[in-house]
This record gives sequence, C-alpha cells and structure tokens, in this order.
Amino acid sequence: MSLIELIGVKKLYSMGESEVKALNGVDLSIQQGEFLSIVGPSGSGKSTLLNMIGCIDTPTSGKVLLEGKDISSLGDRELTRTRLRKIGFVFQQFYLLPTLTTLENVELPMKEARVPHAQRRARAEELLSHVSLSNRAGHYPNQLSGGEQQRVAIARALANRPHLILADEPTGEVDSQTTDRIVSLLRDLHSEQGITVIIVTHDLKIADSTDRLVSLNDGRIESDVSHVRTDRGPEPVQSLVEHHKDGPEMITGKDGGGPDMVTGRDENETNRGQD
Amino acid sequence: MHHFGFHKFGRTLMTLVAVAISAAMMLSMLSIAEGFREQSMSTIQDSHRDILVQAPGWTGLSDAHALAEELESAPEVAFASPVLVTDTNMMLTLTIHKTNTFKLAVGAGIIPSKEKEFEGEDRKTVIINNFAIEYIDDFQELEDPFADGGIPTRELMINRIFAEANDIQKGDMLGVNGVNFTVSGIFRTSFSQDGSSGVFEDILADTAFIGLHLSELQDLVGLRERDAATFIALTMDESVRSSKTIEDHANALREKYSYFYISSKADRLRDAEERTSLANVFYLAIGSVAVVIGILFLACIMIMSVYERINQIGMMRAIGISRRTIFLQTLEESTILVSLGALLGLPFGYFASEFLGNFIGANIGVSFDLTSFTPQIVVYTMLLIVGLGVLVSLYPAWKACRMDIIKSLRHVG
Repeated sequence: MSLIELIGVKKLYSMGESEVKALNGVDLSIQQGEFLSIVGPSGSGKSTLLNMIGCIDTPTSGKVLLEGKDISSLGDRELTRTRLRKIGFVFQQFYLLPTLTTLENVELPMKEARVPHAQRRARAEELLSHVSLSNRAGHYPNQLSGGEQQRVAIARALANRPHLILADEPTGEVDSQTTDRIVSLLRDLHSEQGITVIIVTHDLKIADSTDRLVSLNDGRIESDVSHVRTDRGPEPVQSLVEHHKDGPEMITGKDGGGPDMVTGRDENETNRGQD
Repeated sequence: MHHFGFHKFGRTLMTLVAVAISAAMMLSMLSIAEGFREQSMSTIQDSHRDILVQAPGWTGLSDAHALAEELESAPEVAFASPVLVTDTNMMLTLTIHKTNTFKLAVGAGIIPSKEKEFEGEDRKTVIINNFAIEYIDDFQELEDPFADGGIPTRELMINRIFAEANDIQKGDMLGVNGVNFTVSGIFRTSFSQDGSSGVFEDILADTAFIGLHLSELQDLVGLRERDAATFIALTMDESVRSSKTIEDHANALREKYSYFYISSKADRLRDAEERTSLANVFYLAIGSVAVVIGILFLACIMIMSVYERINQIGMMRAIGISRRTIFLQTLEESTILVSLGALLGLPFGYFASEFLGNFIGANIGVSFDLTSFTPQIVVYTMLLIVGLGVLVSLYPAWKACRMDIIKSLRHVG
C-alpha cells in the first residue's frame, strides 16, 4: 500500500465569478521512505498539492489517500490528529513562536500530543542535538540565524516521530551554504530513519538532490522522474536540470540522462490526471 | 502555555493599565456607594429609636404628650419621646439682634430628659430623621415645663456652623418668630466637617438649625393647642429588646393605631436600603462606563493580537494543534491579562476611593467616612471585570480557532 495516493485530484478555487483550477486531475503515488521534490513555476499547484498531502486541504473532486484512508472522509478533529501524529511540516518562514524558547518550540507538538513533560523534554533535547543546536536550547527565535531557525523547525517537525515530512520551500529564506546543510539534514532523516520527505522547491539544485522529481504545470503533473542512485552517491541529473532551466514544459522523464541515471515513470500510470 | 500577545510589552502594559483603571473606577464608585449605605444603615442601627409612630404630614400627631405617655405605659416600652420637626415652609424666622439680620430657621422640638433617657447620659447624641445631632452643650432645663403650664425656659441650642458663620456665642439673645431666646448651647451634626466649606456647610451657615423644648416650639408655630408632633419615638425595655420583640410590638401597635404609620427599625432599614440602592445604581452606572471602556480596550487588543498572529495560528493548526487548544489559549491569555489588570487596579481603587471620599466629603461637608472598601466590593469588582473580560474574549478566541489554515499561512501582514 502506498503511503500517499492521489487519484484524479482536482482543486478549484473561486475568484469572483471565475474559477481557478489549482489542481486539474492529479494522480500520484508516493511510497513510504521516498525522498521526493515537487517543482514547477509559480501558480502551478505545488503548494496546493502539498496542502492536500498534508491534510490541510481537501480536493474538490478525486481522492487523497493517506495510508489507504481517504482524507475527504475525515472531520477536522481527525485531520488535525493526523497532522499532529503522522506529518511534520517545515515552512519557508520557519514560523517559530517568538515567545517560546527553541526547546519549547520543539516541544510544542508533543505537548499537544500529551507527551509527559520529562519525556518530551528529553525528546526535544535529543532532536536539538540531532540538528546541532543543543547549545541554543534556551535561546528565543529572534536570537537565532535563519538557518538555525529552520533547523529548529525541522526538529519540531520530527517531534512526534512522523511518517512524512513536508517541506514547503524550506531554503527560501536562507543562504546557499545553509541551504546545503538543511538539504543534507533532510536527506539524513530520510536515509537514517526512513522518513518520507517531500520538498516543494524552486531550487533545481535541491530538486536534483532528491530521488524523485515531480514537475507540475498548470495543475497537472508534467513529469515524474526517479533518479537511480549508484555507488557514486546522489549524482545530479544534470541534463534534467538543464532542461528545467529552459522551462518546466521541457522536463519529461524521457528527456533524462539515460536509463541508468533517470527512470521515466510510466506516464499512463503516474500522470493519469493529465489527460 | 504559549501566549500570542504577551511579547508586545508596551501593548500588554497598556491593556493592563486600561483594565486597572476600570477596576479602580468601579472599586471607588462601589466603595462610595457602600460608604453611604453603611452610614445610612448604621445611623438607624445604632439608634435607640426602635419604633416610630407617625401620622401623615410633618405635624400629623395631636396630643403628643398624652399619646407618648400612653405608648410608654406598655410594659415592654422603656421610653416614648415626642419630637416636632418644623420645615422652612412653616416660616420660622430668626432675628440676630447683633447684626439686625433675619434668617430662616428649622426647628426640632424635643423633651431633653426623654432624649437623655433614650440615648444615655453619656451619649449626648440625638437622632432626628436619621440625622445625628451631637450636643456640645446641653439644655439647662431638661424637662418640658411649659407643657404643664409652667414658665417657658426661652433657651435654645444652635448649630455650630450657623453660630460660627453669624458670630453667635453661647448666652447671646436671638429672636425666633419675634420671641427672644437665649443661646444655651451649641450642637453639631454629622453634616459638618471641621475646616470644610462643603455644600451642607453653606446651607447650614445660612439656615438656622435650632433645638428647642417641644412645647416652646409648638407655641412658636401655633401648634401648642393641638400638642402636635411629627413622630413619637419608642425604645423597648432592655430586658426584652430584640428584633423580634420590636417587630411584635410594632405589629401590635399597627393593630391598635391603624390610622398611624408605625415603622420598626427593620422597616426603616429596609427603606434606607431602597433609598441607597437607587444611589448605588448611579454610582454603578459611572463605574460601569469605566469598565466597559476598559473591557472594550481589552477586546480590541485581543482581536488585534489574533489578527497579527494569523501566520502563527495557521502554523499551529497545520502542525496539528487543535481548535480547542487555540481557543482556550486565546481565552487564557485574555483571562490572565484581565485578572492581572484587575489585581493591579485594587491598590489604585483603594487610593482612588480614599481620595474621592475625602474630596466629596470636603465638598459637601460631612464628617463621616464616605467610603467603605469591603472584601465584598473587591470580590464583586474582580468577578465583574474578569467575567466581562472573558466574555468579550470569546469572539477573538472563536475567530482564532476558526481561521482557515491555508489563508492563515499565506497571509502577509
């Protein structure tokens, strides 16, 4: 069973009298333990797709299945509980609470999950250590750099041991050096703990470092490309990146760097919504 | 628990101050209302006048001496004292020979010996119409000789304020309705404060408030033949004196003298309570305006605080914080704010009530304490302000917890 499965998902928004199709028939299947990026131009539906996967939005039509359960059938309370227990969010603007210390920010989701104080404190300390911020536990967000704040946000996302981390432009507000560190942190989480990580990004370098790249345009999946990793490590699919630089419409799995490096998924299987 | 707004120190302080001022205003208004109430009640409560027998009008009772004796003959009654109180309409005029000026006068006719028996030798205080009169000097003749065909004493007591304002001393001669009287002494009332120049002082400085023997006052206003009195006051015998016996005797008198208005101490306390509750509404209204302003300030701050933190609320909802938690958190924040503000207002309220009490006291010229800062007032004010604070915070709390997650996250402040 897939961790996440989107079947013919459409999302329409009303803008006055006109309707905007944010997602226009998306089919996507994500397995447990994938490290995936979603790319596409502004307005292509990336964030809407992430919101669907993250149970903070429901489709106008179609189905979003999380561990086989249709999220449209869940009420607000169940959706909230699902987000709390199974999903970790990392936002572009970090969204740490300014009145809480770093440690307290990490504790926040555990507090909601009613984890006993000593237990959640120990877990928060462990997570801060994991993101190399133990020495910043008592600091407030405004005393941290952007990169540090994002690492705290990642620690917070991991608090309740989620199955899935959703990162919406996680490096949008940090410099390139910090970007590398954050991406490497996310990759470590994926490889060490087997957590499914989905990153929405504009940064092709980041997209290239993931194992699978889903490209969206006009609310449809334009391409869905998996990298085949070799012993040489996560070698970038340079040709794919080059294509993407020319415009997302150029990206297709078939245009990748060869079957040994890039596997174009069966379009009929994964991009049913495009038709 | 995380609180959205507390990191805005200046705003939090402003809110605390606004709520504190509201609480202080409410406390001081209530303490003044309570002070008046207590004063009014204690004057009645402390009085030895257990039952009053009255008839309609100021001089409604006839044959006052005989009626007083009849009432006093009951074994449970210790004393019965007739009192005549005239008003300005009765045109009691007073001539100050020294300055050859004329003033209006209000007279109280009493039998001094009876009043002494009433209030005790050492008390020197007479309560007339809930008005305390404290004698500095005394009548030379304590009985009422003129009533039995004796010789009139032609002595009168005069209010200190009037005496001082008009340079009248003990032993001076004054004309009352053309008859000469000697000032045998001075009395003061609870509506006179040393060194003040309040409104009561002004009134009492211009209108003579005089005390005379009952029969001599009756004579001056042409009511002697009828032996008129305003009321007859009864004091129960100490051996049987209790609320129940007072009430029982009042009921017995009501049956016997159905044409009189009989009021027990409890009746007068009730009347006073009604009178003061009307005044309380006035004070409460002033206090309420302040409370409403303070609470509206709090509500605005809470709404502003919620809208400023749309992103944070959106994030909290996204990471799985429930609506209930956000609702309670917002409510908790306002409850803490309003409670702290109200607590902060307590000392301010105390000092404000003292200040207002002294200010009003000095302006109207009363010697009694105008304010009463009781625990009940404090509890009432705290409950009112915190209750209202929580009530008005329901809306921002509800708004916070019902926010759309996606719109909240996308919001650009």
